[in-house]
Amino acid sequence: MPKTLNIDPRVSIIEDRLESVKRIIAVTGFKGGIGKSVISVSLALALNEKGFKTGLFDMDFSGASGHIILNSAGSFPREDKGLIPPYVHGIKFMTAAYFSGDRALPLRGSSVSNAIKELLTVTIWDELDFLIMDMPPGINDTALDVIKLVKKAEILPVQIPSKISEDVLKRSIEIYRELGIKITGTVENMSASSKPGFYSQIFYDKALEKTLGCPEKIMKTCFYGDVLKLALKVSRTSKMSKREGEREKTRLVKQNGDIPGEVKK
Amino acid sequence: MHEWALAESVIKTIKSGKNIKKGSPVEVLFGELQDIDREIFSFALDELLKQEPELKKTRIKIETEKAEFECVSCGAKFDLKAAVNTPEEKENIHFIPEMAKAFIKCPKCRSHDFEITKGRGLSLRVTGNGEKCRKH
Ligand SMILES: Nc1ncnc2c1ncn2[C@@H]1O[C@H](COP(=O)(O)OP(=O)(O)O)[C@@H](O)[C@H]1O
Ligand SMILES: [Mg+2]
Ligand SMILES: [Zn+2]
Repeated sequence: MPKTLNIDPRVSIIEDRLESVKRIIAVTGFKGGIGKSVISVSLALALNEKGFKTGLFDMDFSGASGHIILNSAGSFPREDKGLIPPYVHGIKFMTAAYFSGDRALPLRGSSVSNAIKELLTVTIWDELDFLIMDMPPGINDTALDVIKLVKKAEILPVQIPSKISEDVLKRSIEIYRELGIKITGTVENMSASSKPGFYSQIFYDKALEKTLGCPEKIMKTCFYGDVLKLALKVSRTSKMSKREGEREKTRLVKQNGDIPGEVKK
Repeated sequence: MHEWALAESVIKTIKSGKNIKKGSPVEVLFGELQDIDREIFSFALDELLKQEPELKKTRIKIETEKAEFECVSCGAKFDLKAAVNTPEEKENIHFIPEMAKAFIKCPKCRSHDFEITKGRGLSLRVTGNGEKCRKH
């Protein structure tokens, strides 16, 4: 009997699809409700405001919320040799919510992987300076798929002032480091006071909630002001990435076991 | 025309030579659920093959596979005929087959928690060169 082999053709093309994207930043965190989505959307708005070509990909398929924060109602990808994400407030925006409408999307792990692979295969991002990925909480199927399939993704972990949040984050960061993933820097959200040691701090802003769904209003909040500082910091780090190819860097890190952000030639 | 993007992934995979011997026949399987447009896909495949002279001799056959579902809640097995969908829902499933979980319910217990056991989407099948992929 000749052996029959089933092959998933999608994985071969995913890196090509992201080839013209300079930097991919996965906004992660190890709990829900800590501000990953509002930060992802605002970071994308801020980078766009600073003149960077920016995309936003809502990877939280079951808990999609970017479309609500951005208010993308009425937008839908265009078909042209793939799916072209529409511009929403200047950002190329992709979400599974385009396709699930207002329905709940109950997905088990393997289905999450499949759906992510599908969208990574058919979405044509074209040239971007930044692609922000709004991740679901935790190191789960989505995070592991992104690590496996999107080699140049870097991680922007978000935490809130809480012992538990800090502790879970510390352990998770260890995992990312072991895997040789670049960590852009840890963000503390909902801060109450200035503390040293964070890459960036975003303060609690009780005015934020009412602005969700209206990007013009979000962009006038103090919260957005903090995110703008974060965006500047993130974009400055990119000088290093330009100097050496991202892929090369990951390889060096795997060889040397260094922290990706700190590799220098 | 998002079939084009899928066809590209097929060509890229064949070109990579990973698990596929040069020149051996390749079967493209269309899952019924994804409802890929065969004509557009074939057209894209032909166009893309023209740009790959080294794949000139590759024979590609397209087959379809019926979709099958199995309910996780009650164990019932069902097929697409049992699921009536609007054209819009079908289109959404066409883009991401997992959207079936939003629009299709188990005909017996109405649960959305089911497995797509067969005929989900696009895959490749190669026969007769399993030895190349085995690691020893
Ligand atoms: N810095 C902040 N100040 C005030 N409210 C915030 C802040 N960050 C997040 N929130 C609120 O917390 C809630 C959860 O945020 P969200 O981005 O959905 O979290 P996650 O994506 O981590 O689940 C939202 O209602 C949001 O408005
Ligand atoms: Mg979220
Ligand atoms: Zn059932």
